Amino acid sequence: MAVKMRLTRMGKKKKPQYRIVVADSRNARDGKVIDEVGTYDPNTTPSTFKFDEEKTKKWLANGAQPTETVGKLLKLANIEK
Amino acid sequence: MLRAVKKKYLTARLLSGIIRFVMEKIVEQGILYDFYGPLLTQHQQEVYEACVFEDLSLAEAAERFEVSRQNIHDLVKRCDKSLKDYEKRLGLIARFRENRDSLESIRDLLAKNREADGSRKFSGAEINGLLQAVDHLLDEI
Repeated sequence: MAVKMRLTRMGKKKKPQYRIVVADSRNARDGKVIDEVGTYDPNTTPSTFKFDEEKTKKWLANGAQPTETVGKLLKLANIEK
Repeated sequence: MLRAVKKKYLTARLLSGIIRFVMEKIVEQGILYDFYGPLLTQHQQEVYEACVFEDLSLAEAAERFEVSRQNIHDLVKRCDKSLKDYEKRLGLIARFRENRDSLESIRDLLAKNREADGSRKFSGAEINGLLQAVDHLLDEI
């Protein structure tokens, strides 16, 4: 269960934007990202999120574990393994 | 069938509401940290950034900082409480949002005018809107 799908914050101060990335949880210290599978933008009205469905499904099938927040976004996007 | 019905009635507004509800916590934590983060100690800042900006789980953060999960959990809770308390006392985020809304309304009115041909002038209502927004910003300075 070493590979995780998580949010990582980008964007400017006071104007957050998030990337949904795949990273090795054992290397959490160096912040290295294996792949980028989507984005989440809370600044737009309505807030928007985007997934690269093919990549996301591939990583989920390969055992990547989404964090709680990403799990909720996946549910909203109707993406399952 | 149920899925089709769900899709039909899942309007953009409703979807936005669901997303906001689900994601609100991590986004709010991030905004609070943007404003009041420097008031936390160095260690608190590092742990809070790991949990909120990098979305690390308690276990991962515990491993990174070589402390217990309970320790991380308590620290994040304590930071949340402190940051919310700062906002309650200082209200910088509320003020920031009001100012941003005013600036956005000015920008929208100006953009609307720019889209029209060069000879177009602002209507009385538009000028009032602009003046109100500018007055609001001047009051806030």
